[in-house]
Amino acid sequence: MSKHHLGEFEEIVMLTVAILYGEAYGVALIDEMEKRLNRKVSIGSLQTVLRRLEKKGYLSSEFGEATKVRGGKRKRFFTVTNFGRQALEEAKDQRLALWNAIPAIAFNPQS
Amino acid sequence: MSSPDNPSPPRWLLRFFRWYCYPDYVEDIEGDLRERYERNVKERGERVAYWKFTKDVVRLFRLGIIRPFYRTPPLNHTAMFRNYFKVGTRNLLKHKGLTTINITGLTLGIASSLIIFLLIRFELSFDRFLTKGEHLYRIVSVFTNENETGYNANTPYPLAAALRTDFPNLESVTQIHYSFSELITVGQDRYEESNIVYADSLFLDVFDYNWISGNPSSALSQPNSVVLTQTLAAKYFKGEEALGKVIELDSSVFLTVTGLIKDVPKNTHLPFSMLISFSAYANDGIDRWDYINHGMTYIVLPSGVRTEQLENRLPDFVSKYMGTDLAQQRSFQLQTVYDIRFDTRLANSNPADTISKETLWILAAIGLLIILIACANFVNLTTAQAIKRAREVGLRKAMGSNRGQIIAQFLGQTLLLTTIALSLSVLATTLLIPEINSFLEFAEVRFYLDKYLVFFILIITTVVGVLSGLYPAVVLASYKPVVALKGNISSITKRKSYFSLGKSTVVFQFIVAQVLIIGTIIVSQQMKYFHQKDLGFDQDAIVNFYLPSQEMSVLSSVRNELLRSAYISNVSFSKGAPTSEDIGFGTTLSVEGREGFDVLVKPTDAYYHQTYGLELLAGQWLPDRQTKDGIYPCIINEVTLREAGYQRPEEALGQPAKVWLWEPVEGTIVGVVKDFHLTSLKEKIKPLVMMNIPVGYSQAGIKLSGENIQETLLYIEKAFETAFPGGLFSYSFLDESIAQQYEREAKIDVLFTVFASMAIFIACLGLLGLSFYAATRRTKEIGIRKVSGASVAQIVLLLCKEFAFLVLIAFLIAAPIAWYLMNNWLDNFAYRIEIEPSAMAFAGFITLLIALLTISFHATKAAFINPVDSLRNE
Repeated sequence: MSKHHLGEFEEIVMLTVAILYGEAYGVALIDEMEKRLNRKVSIGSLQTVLRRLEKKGYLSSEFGEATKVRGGKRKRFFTVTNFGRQALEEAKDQRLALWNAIPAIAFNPQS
Repeated sequence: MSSPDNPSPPRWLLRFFRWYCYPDYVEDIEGDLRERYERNVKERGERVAYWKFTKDVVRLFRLGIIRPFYRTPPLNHTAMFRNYFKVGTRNLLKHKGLTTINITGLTLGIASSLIIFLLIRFELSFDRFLTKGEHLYRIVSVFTNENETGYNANTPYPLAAALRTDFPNLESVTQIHYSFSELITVGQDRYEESNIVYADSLFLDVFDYNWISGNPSSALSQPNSVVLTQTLAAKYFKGEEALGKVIELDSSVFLTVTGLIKDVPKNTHLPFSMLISFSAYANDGIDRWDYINHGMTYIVLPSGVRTEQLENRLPDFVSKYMGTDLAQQRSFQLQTVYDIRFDTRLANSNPADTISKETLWILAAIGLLIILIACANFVNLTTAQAIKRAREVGLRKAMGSNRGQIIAQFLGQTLLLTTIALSLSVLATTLLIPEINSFLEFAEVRFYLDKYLVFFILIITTVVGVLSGLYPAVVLASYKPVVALKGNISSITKRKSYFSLGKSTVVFQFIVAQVLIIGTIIVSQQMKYFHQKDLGFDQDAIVNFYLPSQEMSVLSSVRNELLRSAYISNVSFSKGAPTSEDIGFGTTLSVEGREGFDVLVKPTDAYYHQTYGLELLAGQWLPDRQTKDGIYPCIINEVTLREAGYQRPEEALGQPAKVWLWEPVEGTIVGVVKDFHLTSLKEKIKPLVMMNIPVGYSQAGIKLSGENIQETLLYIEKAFETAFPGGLFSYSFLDESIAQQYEREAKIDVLFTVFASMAIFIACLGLLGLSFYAATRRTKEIGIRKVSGASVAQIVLLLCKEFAFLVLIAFLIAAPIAWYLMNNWLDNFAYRIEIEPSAMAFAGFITLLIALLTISFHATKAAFINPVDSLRNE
């Protein structure tokens, strides 16, 4: 096992943060994930993961400007750090390596 | 805030979220929550949005989002302890009055409960010193007829021997005879000794005592041996060696001292001053199965044998020895020796008193309640006083104290007070114990530290400290520094909570106090009833003395000699006065239509009814001669009449009656006497037969005319000494000995009075403090009222009304509780008073009066304050 282990949900959250570059805050992330992956995400589960990833150093965050909506509360925008990018890439490489190691016959029993 | 553009989510949920969320996360997560909510409202309506919001908030409540329990890492504030202690002490000294009230209340409360604890522990220690106690049982007689079941601790004398033959596997069987009084002669000196045990040689195998000299295994094996207690040996031989000395029993039997033991502990059901070998006990009924006097039988079961195994075989055993007829009415039961003290069914045949476990529970409850009253006081006063320390709390909080620290500080102060109160009450208890022991007589309470006492004291201190300190501490700690520092007392006290708590504790205190007061009144009413109820005979100016001899010729000469005095109106010889411990022989009577039922036979002479003023319902009194053609004349009482199945007294006259005495005796009923009380009013009147049997006489009753009593007593003594040379003259007045039967109840009366006054005193202390604060709090109001023209009386009334109302509420709750409890107590007595509402009302009135007096102390003071002074500050 490598030193960066990412859970499935953690990986998805990080990827979504990367997709929404610059606009990645709570509600937007949920919307994006619901749209792309067709899965329900609660604020509770998302926020716990975000904070955990931030603590691990994979994500960083900063406040935006206050607006009239949201009861005047500022948004917290997340970005993937370099360290986070490494972790993502490593995860991707591992998957790819696994895919490549599958013998052709495994998924094509007819031929 | 909820404009149509920006609807606001439910505020309580938001508050909840803000409370649990980690502070750094609050802003943006709350923003997210709101954004989603706003969108949901727009798209799907408020209801759906509401539910989704709720779901979100609830699902955010998870690790990683929740903030840690402590806002700041815990500090080590040991250094503050010195400060707490100093400030605490200063505070106590500053409010000397309150501190005194608090400490007095707590001391009284703790001391009462300590004493009650020691008493209960003493009671529970009964007979625990017997090493064989676990397997030691007393055999008790059970009498059954259609109506009731009676119990008697005494058994027929042949029982022990029969048990030994029929149940050889029993470890030990011992037979004793208990004598309440014997005449002992040592050299020239004569003594009347009470509580003497005649015991067979196996007794000392079963019961162990502290031996000073002599050999327990052989001390009673020889006939005419005696074992003395330390006190008696010192009295008889004045420091000389007692062993081997000879004393004389009843001027006829010589007993050799074979052993010396330490005084028997007071926590035993079998107190005695000397042990005499059983063979010295002479009685004609000693080999009869239907004769019950004061014999008791004890057995030791081998370990592993259950009582049922023996009890199941007892019916056959009884039939075998007592005959099938008697076996229908009589049986035996086993009673563990540890239970004897608490088995009130046998109260009247036990050598020592019994006390029910219930009584002990009630005592414990009273102790607990008194402690609670004291705690309630403490809470009230401290909370009321807490306002004054608001600034201190404000400052401490501003300087960085947290709630926990402030609670700890005030709890600590309470513990300090509790400890002071505890030391004082331990001191008080130590000083009071000798008094208590001599007052209660039966008790031998000792105050020594053992693990139970230490445990009890620790528990008491902690419970009292925490119970009374926690609430005020929490109230104080909840003050907001800003408000508290401003020193605006009224804005702090606006929270009514302490006052309603104060009110409920006052109600609680007065419930307890009033229950106890009602109890006191009812106990003393019952006492009065005991003393005043017509017992069915005359008890005034009657002197009794014990007869050393039953010789007919001696008795008649004594009688003639006594009657020569002008101040003596009548003389009678009998087995005991109408009401006495010496009630008669328990035996059976058969009449036509009713075979052998249990009766008491009381030997009396021909002058008994005149001397004691008994009323004959039919027939005539006993003749002077014992028998007429070998047939004994008998007098029966109304209970016997009913038991025998006669409708009217006249029917019984002339009917033959067969009585078992030392042999079956033929008799005839010559008269029916109106029921009179044979024992104390605690018991029902029993079936009685009176016969003229001089050998059964034990006492003389002398009716005095009521003048020159001292001279007459001297005259009686001289007559006694000429008639019975060597006899010991000791007399008693009948009314006094009857009053003595209620000694125990009289003591309960005193105890009730003491505890009731304690309770009301502590409650009033609390009321005093509380009314003081109520008056202080309303100083300005009173000032304004006075300026506006209110009179002093109106203001006093205003202040009193509030508390008087509380006392009334307490009364309404206390009355039914007291009624229930006291009714139960009264049920112990066969003859009892009914509880009258007036007794209750009187108690309520007294309490109200005391409470009003207490309150008016401060109320009048407040009412007299010049409004100029009270309003000046504004």
